[in-house]
Amino acid sequence: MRHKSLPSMMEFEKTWMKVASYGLLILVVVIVAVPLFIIVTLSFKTKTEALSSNIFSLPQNLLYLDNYVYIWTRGKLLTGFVNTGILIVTSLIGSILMGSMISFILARFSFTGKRLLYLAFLFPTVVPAITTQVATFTVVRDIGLYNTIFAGIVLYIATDIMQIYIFLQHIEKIPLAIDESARIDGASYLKIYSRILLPQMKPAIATAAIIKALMIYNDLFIPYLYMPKSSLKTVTTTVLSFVADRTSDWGLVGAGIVSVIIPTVLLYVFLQRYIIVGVVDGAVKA
Amino acid sequence: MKRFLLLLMVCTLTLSMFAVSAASAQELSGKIVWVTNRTDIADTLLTDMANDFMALHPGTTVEVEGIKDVEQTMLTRMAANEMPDVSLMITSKLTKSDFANYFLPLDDLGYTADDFYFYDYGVGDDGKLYGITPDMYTNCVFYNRATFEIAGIESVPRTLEELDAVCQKLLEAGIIPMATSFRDSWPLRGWLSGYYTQIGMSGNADFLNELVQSDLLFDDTEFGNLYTLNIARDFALKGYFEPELAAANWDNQRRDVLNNDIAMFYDGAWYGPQLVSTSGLPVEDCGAFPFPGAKVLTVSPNWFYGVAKNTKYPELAKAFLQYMLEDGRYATILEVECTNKDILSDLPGLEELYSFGLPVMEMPNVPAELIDILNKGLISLDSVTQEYLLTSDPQSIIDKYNDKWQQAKEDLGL
Amino acid sequence: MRNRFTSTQKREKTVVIIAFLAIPFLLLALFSFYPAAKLVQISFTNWSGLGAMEFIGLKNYQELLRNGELLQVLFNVSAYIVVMLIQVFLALVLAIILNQSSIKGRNFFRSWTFLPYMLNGVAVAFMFSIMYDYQRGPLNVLLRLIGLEQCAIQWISGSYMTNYSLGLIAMWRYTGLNMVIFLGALQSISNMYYEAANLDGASFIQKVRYITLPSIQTTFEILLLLGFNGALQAYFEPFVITKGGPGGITDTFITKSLKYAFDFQNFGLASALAVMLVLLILLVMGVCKGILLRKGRQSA
Repeated sequence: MRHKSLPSMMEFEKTWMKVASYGLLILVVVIVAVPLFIIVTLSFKTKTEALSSNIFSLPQNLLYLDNYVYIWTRGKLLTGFVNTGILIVTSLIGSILMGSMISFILARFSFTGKRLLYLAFLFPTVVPAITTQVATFTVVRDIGLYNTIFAGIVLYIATDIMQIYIFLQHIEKIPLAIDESARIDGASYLKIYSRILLPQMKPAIATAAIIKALMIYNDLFIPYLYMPKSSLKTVTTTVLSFVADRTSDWGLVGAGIVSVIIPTVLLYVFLQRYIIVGVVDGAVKA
Repeated sequence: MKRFLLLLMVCTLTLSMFAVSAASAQELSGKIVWVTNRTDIADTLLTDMANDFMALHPGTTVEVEGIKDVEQTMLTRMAANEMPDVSLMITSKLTKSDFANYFLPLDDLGYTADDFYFYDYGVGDDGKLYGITPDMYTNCVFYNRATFEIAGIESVPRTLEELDAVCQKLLEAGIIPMATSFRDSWPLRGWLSGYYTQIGMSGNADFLNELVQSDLLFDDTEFGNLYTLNIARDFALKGYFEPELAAANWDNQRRDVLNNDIAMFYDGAWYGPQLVSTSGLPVEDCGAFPFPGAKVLTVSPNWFYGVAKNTKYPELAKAFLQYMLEDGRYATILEVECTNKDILSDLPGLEELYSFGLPVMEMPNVPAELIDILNKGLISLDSVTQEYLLTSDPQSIIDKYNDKWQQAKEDLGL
Repeated sequence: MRNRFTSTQKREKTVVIIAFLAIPFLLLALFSFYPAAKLVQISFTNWSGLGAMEFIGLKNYQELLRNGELLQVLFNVSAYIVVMLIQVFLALVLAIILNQSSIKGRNFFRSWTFLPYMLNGVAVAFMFSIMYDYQRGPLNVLLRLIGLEQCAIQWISGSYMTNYSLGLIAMWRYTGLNMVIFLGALQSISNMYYEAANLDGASFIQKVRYITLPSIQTTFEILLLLGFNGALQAYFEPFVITKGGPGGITDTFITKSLKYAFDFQNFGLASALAVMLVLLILLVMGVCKGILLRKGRQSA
């Protein structure tokens, strides 16, 4: 998988190709970096400075923190982070448990209807939640979860089946022999699942957790539709509502954006390897 | 003797219990949620108001919740049976027979049509009152006096030609004459969907009923829908609106008005005072005049409030609603005109507005059939305005929507 | 060998299977199957979101086909599809480049390109609304500096081109992701082929054409499939920036469906539109899978 250092034999022969390549790469990096740079500098500018000065200039006072203070106090970003945090932790636990349990059954057991079940779990990928929202809404409402945090938790657990693939891939690598020797020793299936397989699936769990956490953190859709109460706002909906009213104050917009993306950027800096590997694995094998 | 005393004690205790419970039945208790569309002051001024109420009635809790997309959110929550206790009532989307399904009758509050403007909007088809609006706004053109000074304009326009001349002068002075906040849609309502011009210019209170009967949405009715749209389009073509029209938004508009970069905005008398109190526009710069050529000053109601049918604390909710309406309290906090008939609002710009001597007329309620036709035809008048201002082929837009109108009427059997 | 499992073991198995799958399946049924079924049901009614539901047969579908808004949405979404195709192509090119060991700083480039994918969609949308600002946005400022004043584009105008501007935002976000996935696939191509090609004196382009591309066909098709899926379901960018734009000119399936439901109180029509979207997605998936299968059979 990580053949980074293995030289590929399809190298460029001509110099102009190399030059062009570097050019393209640098262009891409600039395209990615410039908006981010601008946003960061904007967040440290005062309202007037943000509008009048050159968009590329550096802020006069690098420590002008008023925008951030405003966002965090008036914008109640802290509540947003708390809610998002709760959502992530509970949904992660729930979906990892569920995902691993499902993949355990699908990998280790054979029974009539298994194929059908497998397809059944495929259903949400074919019919994305976004399209059925109008109907899903009535379900959430009828169960009484509307405007409670459980709406988010339940929906996040129930509607993402990507996890199953990741776990399945991993379980299939664990030899069946381990299961069988445990059975001979008299272990129950539950024990096999919890004591033997689950610990072995740590890498897969880590990958699944990171991807899921990222998805929940960045999600707008579910909190917006199902948990609109202001005390339940997540990071994303907080930023949406707060910034949408103040789009002419670019300093504020910048601070809002930066506040929201900093956690993911930090996560990325430290866990880059795992994230990229996980995403690639998940997609290549899907 | 002992037994007698015991009996006496028991009687006294029982009686006093009744007395206490009778007394506490008059005291309010419970917790209610109150929603408002003013998300910008929900945490500050409105929470203060709620706190004042709670101080008067200890043991009660009033929670303030600001909601943004009012119509969408309220309709969703109504469908979800998740209505806040003191709810916004979307009279434009509810039929009068719906009122009783979602709201409690307010007759025990003792209000009559003599107390409030727009009283009949909130009356259901069973004759009971279900909702009241605490505030309203006179339709007018707001203008920033400082910009007029800069452009050397000495008097406000009284005819459309004068308005045109004023706009020209402003343009020459490098000021955008008229704001639209195009992208946000609703600020365009003065030009079509609010019916201000149509009814203001004609003085015809029956306009909306006639519209329902009309075969065409846009025809050559004097002061009809097409008339007002064409004024807007004319302005757009002459460059009297924001230069990048499609990107103009509400937040930018506020900033530009304050910087004297935009002069006028056509909607209601609430705009100037709001700029004064929340954004620091100097009071002396706040001016308003009726739409040039108008025969009457129309007044539009703002959001309606009612008490949710399945509220757990109806008494508390009703009491809070009463508190909002008392002496125009809510309207005063918002710095808008209150609907209490016995109170004359005094806001910046109103004096100038009334100095024109035009009679004041309550905007007639939008007939249910009109709402049905527009819904069935998927016609959003603000969207029509947007398309009409941008298109290079205006007739095609007119034809398109006339067709939709006719088709919708046909489908509905009207 | 007869029945491997004793009856108690069999029972244990059944219990475990049911216990483990019960809740997931319940959730699935509740939040996936049932809403899908309900969606179809509502699409045949004139439900306004409040009150009673009245069966009206295919009227909603007829309406969609008649009022031209379906076509408009398709047309809008096609802009996203075009951008998506460019994006996949660009990702492939970048991946091929980054697969060279002779390129220095590959990790650095890879990290930077992938970063946008991690960022919050709403934040990115707001960021681009600033970037796209006609007067002060960096793009136009740059253009003016070079003297291309007239080229300063009205990124968010009221015209159809706005769809492309919005689509470009998605491209900014997802190119890195696609690139990294391509890279993974590229790195699993055995060097044997290249060595053999080198011996034959093949040029770089020839190597790409005959070795690289065929080997990553599956990945390519999967990314295309995901790309189509994403483009059809686009709603983020128009929702935050233009709200469907003047006169529905930047409406996508989802934003339009939401409009039908909440602005015009026509859940029936909204559901019908959603059903058409699902059918379209299924169609696209079917076509892609069909191509995959056929190619698979060919190479087998």
